Amino acid sequence: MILSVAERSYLYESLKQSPPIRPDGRSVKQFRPIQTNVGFLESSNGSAKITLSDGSECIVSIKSKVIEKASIESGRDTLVDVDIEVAGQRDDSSFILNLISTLKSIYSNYISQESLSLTNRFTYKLFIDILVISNYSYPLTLISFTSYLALKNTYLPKLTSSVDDKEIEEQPTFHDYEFVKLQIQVPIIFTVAIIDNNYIIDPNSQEMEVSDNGIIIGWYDGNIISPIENVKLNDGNSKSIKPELIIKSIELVKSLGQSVIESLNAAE
Amino acid sequence: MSVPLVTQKRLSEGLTVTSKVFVRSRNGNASKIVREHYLRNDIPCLSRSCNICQTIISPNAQGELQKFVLNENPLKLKEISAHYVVIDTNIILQSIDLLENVEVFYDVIIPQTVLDEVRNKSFPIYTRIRTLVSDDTKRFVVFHNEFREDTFVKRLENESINDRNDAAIRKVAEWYQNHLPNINIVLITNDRDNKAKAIKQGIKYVKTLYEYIELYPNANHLKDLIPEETNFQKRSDEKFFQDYYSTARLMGGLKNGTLYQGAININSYNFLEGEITIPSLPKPLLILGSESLNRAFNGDSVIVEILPKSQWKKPSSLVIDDDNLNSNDDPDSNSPQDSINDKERRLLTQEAIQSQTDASEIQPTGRIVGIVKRSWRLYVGQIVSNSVSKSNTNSAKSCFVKLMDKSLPRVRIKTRRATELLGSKIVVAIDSWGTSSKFPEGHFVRNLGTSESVEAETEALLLEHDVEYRPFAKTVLDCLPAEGHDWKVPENLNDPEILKKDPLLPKRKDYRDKLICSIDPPGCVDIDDALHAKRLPNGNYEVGVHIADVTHFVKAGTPLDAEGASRGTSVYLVDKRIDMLPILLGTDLCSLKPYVERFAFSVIWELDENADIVNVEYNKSIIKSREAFSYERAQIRIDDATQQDDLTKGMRILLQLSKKLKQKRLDAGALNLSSPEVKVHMDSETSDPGEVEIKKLLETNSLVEEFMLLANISVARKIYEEFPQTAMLRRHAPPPSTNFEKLNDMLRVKKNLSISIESSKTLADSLDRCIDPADDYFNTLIRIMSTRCMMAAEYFSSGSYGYPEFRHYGLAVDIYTHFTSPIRRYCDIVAHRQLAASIGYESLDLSHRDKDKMERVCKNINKRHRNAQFAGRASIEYYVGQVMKNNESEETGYVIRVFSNGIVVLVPKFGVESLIKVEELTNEVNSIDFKEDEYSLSFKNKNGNLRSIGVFDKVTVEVKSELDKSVGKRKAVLVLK
Repeated sequence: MILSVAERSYLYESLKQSPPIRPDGRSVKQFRPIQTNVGFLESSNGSAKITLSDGSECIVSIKSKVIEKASIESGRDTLVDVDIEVAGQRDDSSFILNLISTLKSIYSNYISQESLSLTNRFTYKLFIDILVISNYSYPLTLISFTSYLALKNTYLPKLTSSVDDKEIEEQPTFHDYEFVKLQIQVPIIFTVAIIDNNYIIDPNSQEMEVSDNGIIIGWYDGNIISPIENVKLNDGNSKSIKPELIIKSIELVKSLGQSVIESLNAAE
Repeated sequence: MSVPLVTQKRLSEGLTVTSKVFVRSRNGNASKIVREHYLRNDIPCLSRSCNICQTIISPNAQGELQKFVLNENPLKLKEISAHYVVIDTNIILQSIDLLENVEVFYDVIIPQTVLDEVRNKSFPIYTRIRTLVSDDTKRFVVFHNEFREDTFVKRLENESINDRNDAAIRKVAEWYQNHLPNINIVLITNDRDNKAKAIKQGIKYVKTLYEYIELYPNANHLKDLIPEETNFQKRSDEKFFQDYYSTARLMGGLKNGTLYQGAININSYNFLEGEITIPSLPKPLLILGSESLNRAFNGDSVIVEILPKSQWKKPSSLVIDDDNLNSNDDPDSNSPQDSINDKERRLLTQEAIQSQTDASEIQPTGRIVGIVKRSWRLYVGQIVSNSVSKSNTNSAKSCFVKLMDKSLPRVRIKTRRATELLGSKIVVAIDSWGTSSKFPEGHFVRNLGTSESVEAETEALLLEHDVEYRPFAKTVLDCLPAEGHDWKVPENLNDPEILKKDPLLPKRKDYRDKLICSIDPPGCVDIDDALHAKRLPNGNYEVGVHIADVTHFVKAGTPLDAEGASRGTSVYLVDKRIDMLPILLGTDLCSLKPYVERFAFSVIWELDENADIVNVEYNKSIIKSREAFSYERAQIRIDDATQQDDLTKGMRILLQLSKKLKQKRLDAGALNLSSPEVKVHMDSETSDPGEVEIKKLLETNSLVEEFMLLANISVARKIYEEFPQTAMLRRHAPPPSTNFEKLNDMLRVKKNLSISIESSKTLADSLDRCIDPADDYFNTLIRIMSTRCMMAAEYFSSGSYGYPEFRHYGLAVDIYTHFTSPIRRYCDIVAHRQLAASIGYESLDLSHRDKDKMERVCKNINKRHRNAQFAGRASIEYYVGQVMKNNESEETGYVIRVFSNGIVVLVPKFGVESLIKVEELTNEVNSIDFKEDEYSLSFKNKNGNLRSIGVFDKVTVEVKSELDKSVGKRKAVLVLK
């Protein structure tokens, strides 16, 4: 978004106030309203869509495949695979590759092997396909929320053969009709924008444009998790972040993390 | 646990879309499959009494309207009065014979759900029910309930697919009940649970099959046809067999190589011993004892595991048939299965390979743990008289049926007519074989008639060998030329009228001037080949083989073609021929009869003095055969020096060239094997078999044979060149050395001879060396025994094997096909079409270019070919038995196998072989000394003298024919003199 010098300066000054005055009138810890939709892709195991008030939209589909555990142990395969497509971005751009690697590492670390385990020898592997149809702000939070909803509403085929196949091998067989809901804890990622001495959650595109810097903070099971790192929210004026602002941002996420999870869970 | 949400959306008036969601497990993976499913409301009930449905139906793609076939005044029975019948899947699967019966079941509604289930479970039954539906006489209709909006049933949570389908069937009955208030709807199900639910749902008439049949007056005799109602009565909980492994275990085991799949082949001498060929083991794996066989039938496709080493055994040298009923098992193999894990199993496989290659005495054994596909069909047998209860009440009682096939166990059936059916050949169907039953359960299907009567025996052997002998269907006969026997080769080949009908006619070569004749066995009516030869001015010879042009009449893709493909071959019995193609074609329009013009497919060679091919040409043609000779008459004419006409001269050229061809073939290593072929002479007046003779061979036999071989080879090369992936060919694999091991060992021990099987050449040479100066017949005997060690030749499509494997071992040629008998073999028809395409006569039908389809065709014709051979042999065996009934005689026989409790003797004169048990050889069973390594058996004969008999020994036996009462089979009984 291109702002004139006057607009930029006006916005920056308002956001510098204490408490900051956000262009859409939100408080520091307030999110933009989201609209959710789950389970609408019949041929996937789980799906979700989130639409933001500014028209940003993200769709996530979860598919599953049975793989041998041995292939994960030997490093030939991973438990989770993430693919992201953002409208208007080349899929080999560093922007996309960064998003993919961030999400892949966070999901591989925090989606438990037990939750996907089928038998002693086999496990499900999840394929998370993310499509950002339109976005006007940094999409990571949007993506992680949508993936959260999709993963929380994923139904996997029900195993009917026995779980213990270590000594006597069995080929997994499944019920022809019934599914089991995937029971997992899913990490999410918050974005905080830093403007002077202020920090605001879920910056919109104008706020991003004038912000000094941005931080992404992971949240999993009631705790702050990595990644905690800065992100470039605009193409120009990046400034360094004061350490106390990082602490304060983390405190901010801590204070609202649980309620975000609760409202996402309520969306099912 | 959850079930996917299924939405329903209305698209337009009368059309709704919903989706079907299910999980497909394949190779251990699970994928969610979603299919759109459209529902409509214009599917009619097809009852003529209905006024509403007439108005709603819409025409199909051809613009035709569905016919309303259910009668407006259906059959009235007591209690249920005028009614239609709705049947469930198991009724069709188990009682298709009853549904086909003309006495019962009219106006039947088959829900689509049922039809789909039947198709998935048994394709043959599906085609039978389809025939019933398309044939209006019994008024069967298919109601497409799955696509009608108000009869579509959603699958509920925790509902198995079977329960959901039952619910759909009940829904159909309910819908009809409301839709047709004046006609009662009877739901027939044998499932107790389904019946209870149906009553609860408000369906007024729900009957089991038995209850329904009982409503018919005088239907007592039909009750026997009703299969066991397994859901209504529980057998004892005692288990005789172990449960099969779960599919998950079977698939897992197959994948990691600890379980093996194969077709079980049960020893015809010992029904408790079977073997399975497994690619990873050098020899077939033995399966011993009924517990290890675990309810498998001969020919079933099964999954086996290797048993622990402690249970490995020697193959039995005993002869066991079902006679001694109680010895159902090997007592020491009853030990409970120790569970071993897959790692140990893999080691076991290694040891099994080791011990099989070591030629050690102890052989690895296996146990059947799963059945992939049952080979169950209809079986012919006879009720075992002592299993019939003597009390004379009218209720159905169990009795045993002993099947004709000795490698199968007896079947338990329930019938009221056991006493009446004693001594008759009956057809039974097998329903199930549970773990708690020692014997398979079946039901009576049909009575073929008194055993030993020609009709019953012929039908029995056709059924046993799965030969289709019913008359050709109307759709098939409709494909024949409308002119019938008056069909003629058109006189004026340029007549535009005729050219319009047959635009390919100008492509035919006119060979009517060639002096062609046919040479066949006497009395042959289906003449598919004719020959001619003449000397060319350059000194070479022109030789032509002309084959009946069957494909002119049998076009690909017609019902006639489909029937030919499914029959695969004609079957020749002693007194009967079961044709592959309708008789009009076989014996008239295609048959290259003398003095009339016929269409042919000609192969014409230019051969030089050494019978080497200089040039070859293939053409569709028109020919006129000058004469039809029998082998004997042809021989006489050739030998008669006074005959100097061109036709006879041509035949002399043929004979002389054929000798050269034969010599070349033998030099290349073609085998001259032997089987005791006999021919039964029928008394022409009473058509009783009179005497048996061994077939004689004349020079003219091999004259025809040589040129047919030459034609087949030439054609094979041509079509392979044109269609390298799908050419229809025939191969004969070299015998695996293990097949000859035993014979070679016997030869070494007894005669100090050996057979080399390195190549067909060395085999042919070593067979020539197997001579016993004292016995002329010894060589033939070895040839007969070698034949049994050979592999069977098979049809294949050229894409299935690499070129080196095309080799025909027996004929010692690199490539071969069958081209010369299209009237009686389907392979030849395909070869004709491919050859016609390769000479640009007409384009090849797509089905003969498709590898998968070709493989399916080959698989079927291989099977049909084998069955036809077996049926032919069984027919000869039966007649030989009839001949011997009247003539008891003493004959020379040869011992071909020695068991610890008997010897097998072959009598060349009748071509029969039979087992002589030790009980018949001696009174003192203790005196028997079986020397396995010497292949001999010594015993005190009935006079108390010590006698020793070994393999290859020439013995004198008294041959008589004896009726085995229990199976109603007459067989040769030999008594050692």
